[in-house]
Amino acid sequence: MQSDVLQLDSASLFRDDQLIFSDISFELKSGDHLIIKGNNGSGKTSLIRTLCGLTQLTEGCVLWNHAPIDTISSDYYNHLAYLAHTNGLIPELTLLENLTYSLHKTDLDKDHSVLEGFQLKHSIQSPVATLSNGQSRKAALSFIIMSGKSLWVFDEPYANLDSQSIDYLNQRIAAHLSNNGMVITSTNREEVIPTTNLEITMS
Amino acid sequence: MNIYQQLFLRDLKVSIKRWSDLLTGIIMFALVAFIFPLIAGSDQDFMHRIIGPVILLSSLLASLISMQNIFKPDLNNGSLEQLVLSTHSLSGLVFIKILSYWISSSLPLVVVSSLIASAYYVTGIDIAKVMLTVLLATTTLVNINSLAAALTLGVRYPGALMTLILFPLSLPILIFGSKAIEYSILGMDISGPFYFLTGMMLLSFSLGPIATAFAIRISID
Repeated sequence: MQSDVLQLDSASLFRDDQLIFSDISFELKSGDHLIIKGNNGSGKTSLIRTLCGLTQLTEGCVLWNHAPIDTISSDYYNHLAYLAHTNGLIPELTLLENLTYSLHKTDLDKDHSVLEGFQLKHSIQSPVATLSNGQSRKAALSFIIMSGKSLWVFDEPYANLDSQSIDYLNQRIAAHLSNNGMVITSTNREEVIPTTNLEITMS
Repeated sequence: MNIYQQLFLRDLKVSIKRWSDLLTGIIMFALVAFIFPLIAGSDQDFMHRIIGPVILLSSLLASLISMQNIFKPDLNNGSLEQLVLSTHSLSGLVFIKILSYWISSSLPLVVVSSLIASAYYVTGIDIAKVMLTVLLATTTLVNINSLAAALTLGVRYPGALMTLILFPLSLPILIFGSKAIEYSILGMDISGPFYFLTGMMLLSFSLGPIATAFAIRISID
């Protein structure tokens, strides 16, 4: 089974004359789970966005299998699934429609279990706008899990989640990691998230 | 169903759900165009002379009103970022978005322009020529709108900036569109202006999505 590696090489980010973070490096291999900790405003989201190629670094670069992601973006995005603060769901459409028209491949028949695990099965015909914050968040998480991508990048996934859903999410993350997946999570809550083996603290 | 068809159908469905936004543009178009017959409606020659500029101006104003609806909602709900993170070419996806936006926002204008043409004492085949002009002109306008909207995505109150970008770029379309309508009514040969409008349509649909994709990447940086 091929092993992928994501590297961040002495990365710094300046925005609007402010230093967001400087000189951050890490190496993430298949089966690794990186957690980015920090208080609100410490730059977690900015770091995550640079890892996804949405924001350009001032110094340093992001390497996927030793190639800068700017040069291989199509290949990199084949492996990347990203959950932002916003859910990426269209509120006017139902959950099922969002799934059907999802631009990332999802295999609905195989993965009913994910929606069941997050207790969303019965809401699948409801417009996303009518779901609660927690339910939308869970729906967005399900889409990532069902996408079949190997690198999961979560920006504060535990926000708005009840404890049952937190446990289920951790279960799915553990399963993904043992399946040679990679996970990056950012959080500002101090609860211990099992199965992490890499940590970065932003200040 | 490949990804482009999926995006196209999805955007059409969403536009229908957001019908009140579409209606704003159509109403603006109709209001501006119908004001002139109401105010100065008896002089047929005068109406024939101004219908060209008025219809083109109404299209421009209608598109200005509804321009933010192309990308702003997607930026707010996060789906625009997901589009950028797709393995497919962003230019191709943006092309589909612009195409579906044109269908939902501008095709109704083509229908309404037939009613407007009647109000301006235009008759017969000339009404069809007016509708064709609106059809062709809006294709270019929608691409210019998308570019302006993408460039101003990160700006909080983009109104003035959008107008500044929009007006100079749309002047050629406004001029040739008016000429096309004017020639139609006078019974002159319309091929010159129509070739121009068609050429602009092809040019804007080729380059517009590419430029807009670049602008989107810059705006979400």
